[in-house]
This record gives sequence, C-alpha cells and structure tokens, in this order.
Amino acid sequence: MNETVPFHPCMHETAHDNIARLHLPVAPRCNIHCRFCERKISPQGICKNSPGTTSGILSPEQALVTTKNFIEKWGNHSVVGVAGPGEPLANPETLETLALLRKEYPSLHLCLCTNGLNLPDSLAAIKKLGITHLTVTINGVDSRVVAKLQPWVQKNGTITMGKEGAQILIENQLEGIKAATRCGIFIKINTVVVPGINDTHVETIARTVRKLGAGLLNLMPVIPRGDLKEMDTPNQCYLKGLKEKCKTIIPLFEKCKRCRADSAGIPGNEMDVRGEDTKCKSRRNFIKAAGVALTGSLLSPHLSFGNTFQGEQLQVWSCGGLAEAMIPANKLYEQMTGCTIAYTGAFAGALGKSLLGNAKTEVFAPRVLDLAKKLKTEGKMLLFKPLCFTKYVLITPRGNPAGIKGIQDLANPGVRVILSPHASPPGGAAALLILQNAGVLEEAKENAVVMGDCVQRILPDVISGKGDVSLVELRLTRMPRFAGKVDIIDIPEKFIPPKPVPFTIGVMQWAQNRDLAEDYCTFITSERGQSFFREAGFIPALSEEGERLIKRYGVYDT
Amino acid sequence: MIPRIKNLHWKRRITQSGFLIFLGEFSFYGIFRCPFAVPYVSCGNCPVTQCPGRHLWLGFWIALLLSAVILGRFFCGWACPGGLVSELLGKVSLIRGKMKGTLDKVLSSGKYLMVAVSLVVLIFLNNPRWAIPIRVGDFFNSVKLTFEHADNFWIGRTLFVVSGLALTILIPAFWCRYLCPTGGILEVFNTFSLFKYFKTNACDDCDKCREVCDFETRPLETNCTNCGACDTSCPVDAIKVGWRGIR
Repeated sequence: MNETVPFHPCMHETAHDNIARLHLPVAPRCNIHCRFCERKISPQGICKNSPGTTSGILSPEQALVTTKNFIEKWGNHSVVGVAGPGEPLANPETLETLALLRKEYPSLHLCLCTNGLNLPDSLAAIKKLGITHLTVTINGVDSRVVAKLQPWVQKNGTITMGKEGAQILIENQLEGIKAATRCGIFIKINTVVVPGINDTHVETIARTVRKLGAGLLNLMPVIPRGDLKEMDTPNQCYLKGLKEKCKTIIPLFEKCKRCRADSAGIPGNEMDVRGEDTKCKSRRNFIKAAGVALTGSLLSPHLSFGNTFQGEQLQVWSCGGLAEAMIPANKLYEQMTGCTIAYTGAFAGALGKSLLGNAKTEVFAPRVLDLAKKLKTEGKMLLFKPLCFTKYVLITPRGNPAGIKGIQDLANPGVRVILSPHASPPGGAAALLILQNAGVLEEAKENAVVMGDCVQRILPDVISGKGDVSLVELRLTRMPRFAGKVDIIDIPEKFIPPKPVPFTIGVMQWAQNRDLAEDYCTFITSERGQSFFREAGFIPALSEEGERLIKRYGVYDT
Repeated sequence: MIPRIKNLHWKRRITQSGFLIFLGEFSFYGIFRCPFAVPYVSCGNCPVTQCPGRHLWLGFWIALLLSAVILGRFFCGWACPGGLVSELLGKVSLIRGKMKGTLDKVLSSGKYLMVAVSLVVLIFLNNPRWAIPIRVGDFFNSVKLTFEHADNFWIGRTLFVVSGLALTILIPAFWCRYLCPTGGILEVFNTFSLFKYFKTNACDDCDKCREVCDFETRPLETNCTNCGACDTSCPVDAIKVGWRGIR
C-alpha cells in the first residue's frame, strides 16, 4: 500500500496551486445513474464548473494533439487524465487514449477517475499503463443508501435496479480499491455529500475505504443538478464538522474545485480544452496563449517528459534582479522533480565576467542579450531562449500628489525628482539614459531633491513623499516591502534603451546532466515557471507582449 | 550584591553558543558578503536577500543598546560571535601579559577612532556600497564572487577586519580590545551601566584576575566585558558583581 500522497493537483494541496492538469473529455458514456448528475456536452454550455460538463468530446487522436499543445504550454510536469464527462472505464476510448499518450510520453503523469464499477476488470490494463494513482467515487458502502443516489447500474450489458444494483456497484468498488492498493496504486476517494441521504453515512465510508488502503478522502458537497436540482447544498458549518470527524480516520483533500471534464490548467483557473465557449473570456485567452506556446519551444524536442531528478543537483546563476522570481520557481521545481538547485543571483555583469573568466555554472539567466550571445560565441553557453523583459516606469507617492502625467513632467519647475545616478548598473545609468532620450535629463537633474546611490533606497523616499516622482524598474514596486505603496505611470517605449530590457536563460557547457538543465529551462519558460516572473513585475517571454518584445529586441538564439 | 553564580564559565560558553546559532550567520554575512562600507547598519535596504540581517538588524541594535545600559560591554563577552572566535583564538596567543598600562590604554582608544570613522562613512558618505551584492548564492561561491567583484575599498575593509581578528594569535582579543567599533560604542556604556563586576578596597593589585582574563583587563577597567571569568580568581575575594551604586 502506497501512503505517500502524489504531487498531483487533485491530491496534494501544494501541487493543487502549482501543477497544471488536463482533463481529456474522451468518455461520454456512463454505466450508472447518479441522481445529482447532469451530463452536459455542449459547446454553447454556460460556463458551468461541475463534473460531467464539457464543451465537447475528443477522439483519442484529438486528445493526443490536445495533450501535445498542453504540455508545450504548461510544461512536462503536468498531470493528464480522463475524468468524464461519463464514466471513463465504461468507454474503451479512455484506455485507448491513455495508451496513445503513454506511447508518446513514456513518463508523463497519467491519471484516471472512476466510479469503480469496472475497476476490478480494468485494473490489469491500468497497471500496465503505469498509472500510480486513481480517484474512485464512492457515495456509500450500504446498498440502502447507495440505491437512493444511484438507482441503477449497468454491468456487462445488464441493467440492475435498486438495492441489488447498488450492491453490485459497492462490491466492485471495494474489490477494486483493495486490489489496486495492493499493487501499489494510490487511491483517493471522492464522496459526494448529499444532505439527508448519505451525510450521516460519510464516517462509515471513510472507515471502510481506509481499511482497504485508500490514502485520501475528498468530501464534495453536492452540486444540486439533475434529479436533485431542488436540493440544498450542505451547510458549510455542517460540512466542516463532517470533515473534522473524518480527518481522524483518513487524510482529507480540502482544495477540490469540482472541475469540469475538460478542465485545463491550474485548478481554479479553468479553461476548457476546446476553448469554444465564447462566453468565457479565459477560454479565449487560452487559445491565444496556446498559439503563442507553439512558437515558444526552442529547446531540443526529445525532452524527458515528467522525469524526476531525485537526488541530482543543478547549479543555476541569474541576474540578481530575477531573484524574487527565481527563488519561488526553483522551490517549485525542486518539489516537482526531487532535485536540488544551488542558486546564485547577483549583478549579471559581474557573474558574466566571472563566467567569461574561470567560473562555471550549469544554467545562466543573464540580463543583456549581448552577454548571452558573447557566452554563446565563446562556446560557454550552449543554447538560450528568451526568458522575460523588464519594464521601466515612473513612480509617485500614492495619489500622485504632484499630478505627474508623464516623463515630460519631470522637467516642470518645482517637481521634486528622486534619482540614483550612482546606483549599480543598470539601475542608475539606465534611468539617466531614459531621461536623456526623453530630453528632460538636465531639467530633471536640476529638480532632483535626492541623488542616491541605490535603487532600493529610492522607493522609501518616494513612499514617504520626500519626492514627487522617480524612475525605476517595475519589479522593484512588486517587492513585498513596497508592493501597493506607490502609483505607477508608463514611459513610452521609444525612450527606453534596449540593452537592459531583455533577459535570457541558457544551458552552459558545464551542465553535468544536460537533460536536467534543459528540463529546468523548459520549466522556467513554461506557463507555470513564467507566472513567477509575471508576479515579480516582469513581462514573461511566454505572453503576447513577450512575443512582441522578442521580435522588437531580436531575442533569438542564432 | 549578587551571590556568586556556579559554573559561570560553562554557562557563559553555552550562552555564547546560543548566540552563535542566532547571530553567527548575520555576523558572517556582515564581514564577508555585506556590500556596504559599514556593515550591520544598512540592512533595511540591502539587496542581499539571503542575509538574516534583513529581519534581525533593527531588533539587534535595540537589544544591544538596552543590554549596554544594563550590563555594559556584556555583549562582547557573552553574545558576540566575533568575541567567541577571538576568545578561543586567544587561548593560543603568543604574546600574553605584555599589553598593559599606557600602551594598552592608547591602543584601546583605537576603538573610538573606528567609531568615528564608521560614523563619518555612515552619515557623511551615506554608507556607500563598495561591493557588488551577491543577492542569493551558495556559501563559498558567494564569498568568492563577492571578493572577485568588490571595490578595493571593500577588500581593504574586509582584510582589515580579518587581520584584526587574526592578530589575536599574537595578542589576545586584539580586534575586540583595540579596533572593534561596536566594542567602542559599548565601552562608553561600561561607565554608566547598572550592573557590573567591580573590585572592592580589598584588592591588592596582585593582577591574578588579569591573568585569567581573555581581554587582559580587570573589573571596572577598559575592555572589561563583565564576562565573570575572573570571578573566582581573586585570592582576597575582592571581585564582586552587583548594582552600580555598591562598591
């Protein structure tokens, strides 16, 4: 029996917020009737987030293409599974799809949800596919209870009604769970809590499945649909009490979002795989982003998908400005792959100089495109790809008391300007260059009330109102100490010097494990990795704006 | 007067070890990775994300000054990781018992000169950055990179501190007694502090206490850290500890 909770978005609470999952809607048919269920297969369907809903059905071949696009967008540590909209194991397409995926991606995390009726029969095939975790929905272990929720079941072509049918379902479920856990598959139980029908029965379910080796229980309050659409959802307090009781019996998963059968992405941030629902803005964005993702993959195609790098080490150096994004991204990558990252973040010019000298590292993410190109020319960097772009902005105290509208206003008499001409590069020099390009350098200098030597010292002076305006990188305003404490005004792009704007990431010649180094770069440039850079105030390369900037600054590894 | 504490020596070592765990990293970063001219004071806007000083420094200085008001140079002998290093190195010092009298007094005022220099750099030069901060990095590599890309000023400052500490091999607690600016600030408080070790009139200047002292001094004299090492050394029992009013 496997007791370690898999790093899976539907099982592990950290993974839930960080790992993307794809539900492939390849299984339209069902073999039981659940009274709360309302399957909805419709591209026009309202944006309903509930199991059994999908905007369409994919064939196994279509599912493969969808998976390919998905992995390019979300990276190779995602989980791909089948969760409906019917019962996956009642549709031969389910195992067909998974077999196709397995052939294409030998180590991709595959997953499956089932009601368990066909689990004993399909277990051998599931095991052969290398599936290590399953979700089984069990709404009762007493046929009297189950019959009230699931009035008929269909097994081997025969429909059985009432308690007898329920008994067949329960027997298969329990036998399936027992057999699965015995061969090392981790089992999560989903239980739909329906007030007045199985709510008082939940503890018994928990005890029964725990005895059989299930590792996790997920209590899902019923979404009143289908025959039970008049029903109330369980009271939050009551549900909490139930959870407290069950917690003492079996670990609970408490982040379930009750996703659709065609969800894609990080749970809670849904987009369907077809993106055909025009009412959902996020879905339109998904198609666009997927298009962008297709052009974004520059690394060698034979990547070790979903590989773990347990116990391995990777040395990563980056421009210090990226530290706020790199630190959490590295932490997540370590959690996903089991490797350890030795990370150094410091002024890229200095690190670059060391690397052009005798220093060594395995992955390097510098600011300034020319540095990457120079390292490449010397054969020290093997390949690189665009990582992100920085953005220079004007900042004012909250409420913008001096009424600054744009960079020209820094020349207005009486405006108190804060500058840091002596700050380490590119902080000081770049800001002065921008002012010069805007033709206001001399006036701004005359207006200066502070001429500092460190960009991080500027912000407290602006926040406290010692000055009216300053010019910094957007990333500084996202640091926890300063977040939300200044107002931000854009600067026209034509004034921004190109040199400090682009960041790249590349694999160095000293990479001990090239697969690991490339896998890491792929992760950092995937949607999940890039989100850390967006949060830290950069423009990720993997975005529409990023695409435009890649072209503008010519960030190509040629 | 406070009754004598048993096993004071070990209690002090344990306290020092505790503070080493708590302050050791901060202490190390200040010397080897702090980009500022004067370390430990510009932590509020320091880009070295890894340094624990970001969270520690303000509380540290407040606690330090409070301790100074109550117990004088207590920090040096009970808490400072540098002080601990100095004391342990001092066990093998080659020139023992030579630094006393006027020579010791003159050299001891070097601390005040260091305080003055630090204050000038801090206030009038706005504590410039003399090194390129390695924001995050592994232990040895970061120190190496810091040295590689630092200004000559920074290298000079760091070598000065390291050699000051290393000179302890010749003269016990050389850095702490003659150069440490923090020690200089605390020394001022020694005169006014509420609790301290002192000598009664029974003292006959036999200097037994100076022989056991890591700082080669005596209670109530320059560089006494109220560490209590001399507590049991007095043949005439003239060393006491207590409130400042009682002599």
